Amino acid sequence: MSRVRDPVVAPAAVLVWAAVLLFVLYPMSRLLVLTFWNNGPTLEAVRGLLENWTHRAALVNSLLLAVLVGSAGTALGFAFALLAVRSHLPKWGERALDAVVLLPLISPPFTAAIALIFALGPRGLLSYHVFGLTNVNIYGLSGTLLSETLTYFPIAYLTLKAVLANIDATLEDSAFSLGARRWRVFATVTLPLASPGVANAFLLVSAASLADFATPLILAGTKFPVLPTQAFLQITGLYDMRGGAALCFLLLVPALAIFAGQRRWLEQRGGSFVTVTGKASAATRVKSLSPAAIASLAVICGLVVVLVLICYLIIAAASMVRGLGADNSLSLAHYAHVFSGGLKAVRDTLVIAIVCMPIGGLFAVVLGFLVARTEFPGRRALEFAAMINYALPGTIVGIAYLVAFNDPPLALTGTAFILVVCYVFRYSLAGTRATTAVLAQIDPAIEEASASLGARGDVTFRRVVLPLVRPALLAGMTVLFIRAMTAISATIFLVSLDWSLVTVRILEGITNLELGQASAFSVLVILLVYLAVVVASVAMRRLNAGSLGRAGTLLGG
Amino acid sequence: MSNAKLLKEKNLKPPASWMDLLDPAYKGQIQTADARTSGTALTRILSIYYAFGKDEDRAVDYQKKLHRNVQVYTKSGGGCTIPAALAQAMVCIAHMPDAMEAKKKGYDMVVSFPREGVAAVIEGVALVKGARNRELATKFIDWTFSKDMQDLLDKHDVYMLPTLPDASIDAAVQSLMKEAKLLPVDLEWVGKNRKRLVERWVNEVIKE
Repeated sequence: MSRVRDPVVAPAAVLVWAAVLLFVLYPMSRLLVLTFWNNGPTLEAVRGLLENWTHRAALVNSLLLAVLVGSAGTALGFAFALLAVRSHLPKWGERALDAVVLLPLISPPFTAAIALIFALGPRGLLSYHVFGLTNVNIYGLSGTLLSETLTYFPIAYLTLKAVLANIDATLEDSAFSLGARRWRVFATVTLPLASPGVANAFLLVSAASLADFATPLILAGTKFPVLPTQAFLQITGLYDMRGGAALCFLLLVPALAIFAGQRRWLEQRGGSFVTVTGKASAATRVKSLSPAAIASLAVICGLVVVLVLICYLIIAAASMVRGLGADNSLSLAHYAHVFSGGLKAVRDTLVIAIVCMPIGGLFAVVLGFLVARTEFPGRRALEFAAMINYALPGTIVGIAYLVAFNDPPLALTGTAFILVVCYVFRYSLAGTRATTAVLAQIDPAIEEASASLGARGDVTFRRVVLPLVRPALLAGMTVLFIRAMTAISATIFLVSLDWSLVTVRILEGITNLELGQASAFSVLVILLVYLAVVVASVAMRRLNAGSLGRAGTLLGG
Repeated sequence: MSNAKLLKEKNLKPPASWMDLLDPAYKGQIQTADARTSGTALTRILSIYYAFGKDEDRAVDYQKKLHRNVQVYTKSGGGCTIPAALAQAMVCIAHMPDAMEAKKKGYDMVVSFPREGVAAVIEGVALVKGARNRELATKFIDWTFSKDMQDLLDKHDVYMLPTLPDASIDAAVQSLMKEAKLLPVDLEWVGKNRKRLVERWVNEVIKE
């Protein structure tokens, strides 16, 4: 592929580099300096941490939890993906499955965890009132594991669904025609073909678990400390910035390892697993699952769907009655609060989300274009650096921003600007990836034609590239909107009285006995995000964007 | 505060002493706050410390025993109120106003105080050094000490006690407070020892 060398590429690259330096590399280096420098290089902060039993336990627990959630989430995602693409589900069935499965993924934080207490706690709706169990323990490892698995298995589902759907069914058919039994076909054809996807799903879900701060805050208790929550407590509870920074470093190492593993997988994907050949393959009804297998998958997935639905029905109920469990008369009081006392948070969140969309979308497309189509020194390094804030858990990014931007010359905490910046550099990657994917399908000759007709780089970009990558721009902006509506782990360190966020109000509602208000805020966020996903997919269909409009692209982590 | 329905089910009276909470009947039924994140938890630790005649080791020892009955330490002080109100725990050790608020919402909660006594905390107000709107801030602070403002606590069901003796008090709170034995707290000592008390809680009480 010929790469563009143009007088405007250099200034564009310099601008993007400067932004990344200031808002990614600078805060991260401040974090590392705080951890490892005290009038000279030192390991005392990290050593001090490891002398504390809760922090040692947090390190071990975080890794354990990531592996367990990764495994359980991938297994569950695989079961759902098999059910969706290998069991002749009617179209509406698949849609319904998607709608429920995606619920936890688009919900604001805390919702699933809180609902789970009331569904499966000692006097839970399911555990006690349906099954008559007493003394169920929902706090600690078991509850955190369950809640995170339910929240993050949809990532595995979306990844694996795409992988399974792309496996050419004729391969399975040939195995059958050679006389193989179903189980043998599954074990020797389907599973090996899906294995890279499984590995990727495991890494994505593990990373999500490792970064999760909201679930353990509610469910882990003191018996099961984990790193992101511990770092938050160290700063907001014990006012120990250095300790918090050092905890971030402990979290940073496994997070980067997982990200590196996932990158490797993405780069190898083009290898020997390509089954989409472009040659027409026979239309075949895949029969790789026996009716019994389909039935058992349906039961497992059905139970999970029921559990998810019950959790969200509890939230919906809590938002619509006066006081759940005490006064169950219908009332719109909590919604009235959302649109009166809570209106500022709703407005702030929407303003920030909407401001983020064009800025982040444009940043994503420019970055994607620079990376995919141009040549300048440090291009690969820029590609990597721009991914750092996305790859790291939000707690680390939030604390790094707090360290870097709390004092002059760059006292930005408390402003809307810092929140926008945080989202743009954390959630633009989806748009960048979509841009490079779209550009890969477009012959550079089109841009060269524009250049040979005398257009400068910026004109070509505006009049040729931008219209072509419109779907990617839209996808990137939708992701930004969804994340800006639901994020908390980084921004909880950056909000202020002037700029509040709905997710923070949800946390406050839960801690201040306002379950009804917290639930009403949650329902509102879920509805807005659903709306955004629907609008985006309709718009994508209009633009003939194909797979970019799928939920997987918008929500797949 | 305790969930009345659960107490009745187990045929228990509301706990009336710190010692009552060690009863195995409460095993896995007590929720209270984490000392690293919650001021309420610090008040609890102080209450126990003063109730045990400032014998720190005995207070820690008691907390270790209490820990065996604790279901979970929530991150915020009032975090146990909703779970207790919805019967996920029988007892929630928290500040009195949280309990009153739950009752107001219609939850059947019983408020009780340990007879050994409890520490009370006073909400503070301070002027930030070098504040931009110093004059306005001073005015605001003066207002918080006025009867006008403190009467609002009763009017808006905040359930906190006013510091001015002539300010109006919620009737339910007033009768409730007759049962409470308030222990004098040496705030200066607390300021100097807070960090150590929390550290002992982390390293001795909850470590198991």
